[in-house]
Parts: sequence; C-alpha cells; structure tokens
Amino acid sequence: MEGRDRGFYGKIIFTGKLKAETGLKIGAGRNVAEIGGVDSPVIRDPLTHYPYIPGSSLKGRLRSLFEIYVNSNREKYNINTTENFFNKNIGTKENPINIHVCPDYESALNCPVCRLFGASGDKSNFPSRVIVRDLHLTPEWKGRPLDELTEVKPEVSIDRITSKTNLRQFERVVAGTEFEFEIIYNVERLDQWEDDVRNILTAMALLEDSYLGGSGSRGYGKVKFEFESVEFKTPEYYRTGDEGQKVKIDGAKGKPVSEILKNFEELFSGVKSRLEAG
Amino acid sequence: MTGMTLKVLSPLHIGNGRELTPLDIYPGDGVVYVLDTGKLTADLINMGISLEEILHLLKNPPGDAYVWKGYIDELHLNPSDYALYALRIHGEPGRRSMQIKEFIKLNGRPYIPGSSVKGALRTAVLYKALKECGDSGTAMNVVSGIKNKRGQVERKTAELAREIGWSESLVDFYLAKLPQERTDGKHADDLLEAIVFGMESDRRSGVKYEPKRDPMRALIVRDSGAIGKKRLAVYHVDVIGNVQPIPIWVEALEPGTTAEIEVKVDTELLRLNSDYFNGVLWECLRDWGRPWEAFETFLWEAVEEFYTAVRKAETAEARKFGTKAAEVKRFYSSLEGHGGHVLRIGWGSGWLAMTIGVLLKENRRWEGVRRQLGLGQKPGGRGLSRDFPKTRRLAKGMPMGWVVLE
Ligand SMILES: [Zn+2]
Repeated sequence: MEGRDRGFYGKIIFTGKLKAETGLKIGAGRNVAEIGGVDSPVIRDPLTHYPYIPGSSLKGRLRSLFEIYVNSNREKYNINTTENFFNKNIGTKENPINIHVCPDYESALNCPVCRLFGASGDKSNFPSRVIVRDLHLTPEWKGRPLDELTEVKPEVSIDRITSKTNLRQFERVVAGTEFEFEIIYNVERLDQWEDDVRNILTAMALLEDSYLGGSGSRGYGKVKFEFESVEFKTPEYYRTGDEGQKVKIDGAKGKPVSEILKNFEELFSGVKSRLEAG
Repeated sequence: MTGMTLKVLSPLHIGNGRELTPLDIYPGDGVVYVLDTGKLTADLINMGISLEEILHLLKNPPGDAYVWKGYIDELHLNPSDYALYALRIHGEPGRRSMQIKEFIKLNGRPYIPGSSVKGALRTAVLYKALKECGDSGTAMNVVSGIKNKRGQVERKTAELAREIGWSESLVDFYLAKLPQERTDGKHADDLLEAIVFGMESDRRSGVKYEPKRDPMRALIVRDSGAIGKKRLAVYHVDVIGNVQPIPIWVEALEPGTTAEIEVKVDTELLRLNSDYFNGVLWECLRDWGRPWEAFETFLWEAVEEFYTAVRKAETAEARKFGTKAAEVKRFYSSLEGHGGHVLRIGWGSGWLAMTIGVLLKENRRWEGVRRQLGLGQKPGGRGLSRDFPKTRRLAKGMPMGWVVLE
C-alpha cells in the first residue's frame, strides 16, 4: 500500500538566488537548427519572453549528481555493493542512459536518493519529498532589456586536416544573470529529515562544482547559490496561518551553500527542537 | 587541476567576427582611440555642426577615411575625452584607413573562451592517440566491434574495418580514402574523429561520430574570467609569403597577460561510462591501466608532445619567415623547457597547430591529398602553391597565440 509511514511534520522552504557565473544554456530542446538561424535557443516564458530555468531541470540535475555521489560512497549509505546502483535504463539498448531508481516503496524509503527525489518503480511509487519551483529572473534582472539577457555566441570548429572553419551560433543567458529559486522539503519522517536536508545541500554544493544546462564541457552553466531565507513551517502554521508557528533561520541570509552545510547544527537547532517537541 | 592560470606568451587574438572600422576610431600617436561616437556626435551638434553634414561625411568619406579625426583635429578636441577605450598600437597604423579585428568580449571585457582552449587540447589528444595507437591493427579491431541497434555489424562497417586492416596505419588509410570522398574541406576529418574519439554504426559510411561516446566529454574547460581591457593592444600582422599582402590589424592580448581558467577532468563520468566509450583513444587509454585514471596524464603528455612537434616543425622551416627567421627562431627557443603546459590557440596559429599536420606531412600520400583538397590556393585562383602552408603570420616578429597553462 502506498503512503504507509507517510507523515506530515511541516515544510522546510529554502529561497534565494541562483547566479549564472558563466553563460547558461538551457535549451528549448529544438533539435533541428534553422538554416542560418540559431541552434538550440534558450527556453523562455511564453508570456513574458524572459528566459527561465524549469524547476524540473534543476531538480533532475541535483538528482543525477547526488546519485553519482551516493554511488561513490556506498558504504556510508549502506548500499548493496554487489548490485549495479544504476539499475534502470531509460535510453535504448544501443544508447543506454542508466539511472538509479528503487524498485519498491521499502527500498526507496531507505535510499537517500529516492526518498528525496522520488522513485517510480515497477511495483510501486515513492513520491518525492522535494519540490523545486521554476526559477525566474530576479526583479533586478527583469528590469533589463530582453536583448541584454541573452547573447548569441558564435562557435568555431576547425577541421583538423584542412584547418577550414565551421561556424555555428548558440544562444545563451549571459554570465551574471540571477534567478530566484525556491526549494521545498516536506518533513515526512522525524528520523530522516536531518539527513535529507543535508543531502539536498550536498547536491547543491555538487552542482556548484559541476554545471547546469548544456555544453558544460565547454564551460557553460557554472552556477552559484545564495540563500535569502530558510524557513520551517509547522503543521500548526498550515492550520492557523499564525506567523508564530514558523521557525525562521536568521543566520541563512546571504550565505552560500558551503556555509549552511558547515553550520548546519547551529542553524537548524531551532527546527530540531521544534520537531522534537512534537 | 581545477583553477589554472593561462599566461599569454605571444600576441593572442580570438575574434568575435566583428571589425572596428575607421568610423569607430581615432588613430593617435602610438595609440588608437575607440570612440564613443554618440557622445562625439552630440557635442559636434552642440558646436553648431549640422547632423546632415556629419551623416553625409560618414556615408561618403573623403580620401582619408578617418572622418572623426577631421573634426577632432580641426576643432582641437581631445580624442581621449571621447574614447570608450584606448589601445596601444604595435606596428604602423593604416595611414588613410584600417580595419581592426575585434577581440571576443563579454559585457565589453575580453575573455578567453573555454572552447578555444579545449579545441587546442583536443587536437593534441588526437595527435597522440594516432601516434601511439593509430596502428592499423588497433584501429581495425576497434571499428570491427561497432554494432548496430540489432546487435549486428553492418556490412559497411566490416568493409571499413577490413580496409583499415590492409593499410599501414590509420592515418595512411585515411589519406588513401579522403580523395575518394566528396568533401568541402570543412568535414574532412569527420570519419577520422569518429574512429579516434567515439562512434556509432552507420549504414552509409560504416561508422559516424557520436559525441556521447567521446571521452573528451569529461574534459571541462570553462570560459576564463574577464581580462582587463588595458591588456589589449592593436597589432599590425605581417603576412609572410603573400606577394601583395592586404594589411591586417587585430586586437590582441599582449604577452604577459594572465587569465584564470578552470580546466577539469570528470573522472567519475569516465568511470561510469567506461563500457560505453569505443574509439581508438579509449583503447589507447586502456593500455595505461584504468583509462579514467590515466586520462589526465595522457592529456598533458599529449599537449607536451604535440606542441613540441609543432614548435620543431616551425623552427625547421624558419627560413620561410624570410627576414624575420632569426626572430622566430629566437622566440621558439625561448619556449624550450618552459614550465607548465605550453600550447597554441586563437587566430593566426596556422595549419600546423590547428590540425594534425605534423603527422600528415610525414606521409607520402599527403602531397596528393593536399592538391585534391585544394589547400594552398594561390590568390585569384591561379593554381596551387608548391609550398604549404604558404603564408605565415607574425605580430611584432612573434608567431601568434602561444600560451602556457599552469
Ligand atoms: Zn533509490
């Protein structure tokens, strides 16, 4: 039966800025380039035409980086070392794309990846405890003219026999652009929330040392997070709307991921005592 | 090896496809001012000059194309008051006109695109893989293992493998094959890159390049941080070997300029996709033990070996630099035993550094292939030059684009 052991002890909500430190290429997925046009234009809000980052892109990236991390630290996470951790091929036989998905509810509940990001196994599903909202431009960046937000960058490839050049054009969001992020974590188990939250932060830290979007190996997509607020909303808050039923973590404002991780105990002590008090 | 410093050793130009024209600049004494023409026009109008006159002159410049210079000099204005930025100039400015190829910039500040550096590293890796593992046996084995979606080896793939097997080496096979292909010269390397870096079964050509199977995917080179504009200068580029050279000026970073650039190998990606990579390069790395662990060492050895070979080839042909031969030799000997990873990037780095020319030139088939491909065209289409590469570019007596990563 689904939903067993699921409780609701509140939500922890992280907000802040995601800054593109190098150009960012989150394509609209148009594969066929128009002749003389731009290959893979950036994804835009259909109403405002501002570029944005789909929450699913960020969440997917956090998951896959965390999967690799867990796989390399199997003992720490009590993962069976004889089985292949990347157990599901979502590609084709010829073009395998292997990801990790726990096959059933029980294993997902004990898996640091699946209980955070969800698992749609063959037998049962495990719903994700993390929600990542679409990331839109910060008000400051929304104030800028549309054509200053992206740039079309020519990329030259050189034939390694003749030295003749091929020119292709790519669109990317300019370096420096800032988006607002909101990541929501549902506290469902009192014995797991602490590890889960640490794991979200770890995935965010891993992303800062990797890339978001396309052409990462060409240097695109280096991003940095900066927290604006971290808040714990108790079930009582959802019943009464009483601001006093929220726990605000004041020390988080303006901090990078590494600082939050480093001072985790101290920062989350208020949340902890509230959860332990029940 | 995450954060590295790239240091410019000889003038480096990486273009953005645009040019500064006489209508953008004021040629001063040893300096070129790039003008804020909006501000200048507004002031000229305030001084009573009609907009029609200015527009007329811009559309029909007099004999001397520096339209703004006329106004600035006549009205005794200070050009630096109207300068967006000023560039030192090495060599003579154009007396009546000049076009300056602009350096690539982001928000107005020059930077070094990661793709330029990665491209240079990739050429070196191609060279080393061919040199070390490009024997016909290895290449034949690699290609004959490529199966289609139904798990079968296509007839064309088997044929290709056999053809490679009969040749002396992969390069030899390739040079024999190229003349039979119709290529515009922009994709002459496609099949070779497929076999070396990673490939997929293809009905028509046997195999074709598949980026997902290319271990170079794990090499991440980010764009450098912004570089101070003060490091840019205008260089007059000498084109040697051309009878009537068209003068060329470029915005280039001066020697001594440094930039921070991130170069990283994603070892985990290599390990996880280990069974998936299938080119000669991966096969070559296997000889070294665990390929994902060997990758980085292989990469830097490749850079060392390839750019040493380029340097030697250029030094051996230094006489082709004519009166500048001694200077060029001096420059190259200054690179000998230089610490760090010396490589060559950007515009004007020449056929030898941008291709696997050092390997091709050793092959007896090369000269014929070169003619077939029409490389070394004389100006005006008057046949092919006997000498290839025919022209060489120098900035202030230095071969361009040499840098060191450390
Ligand atoms: Zn799992």
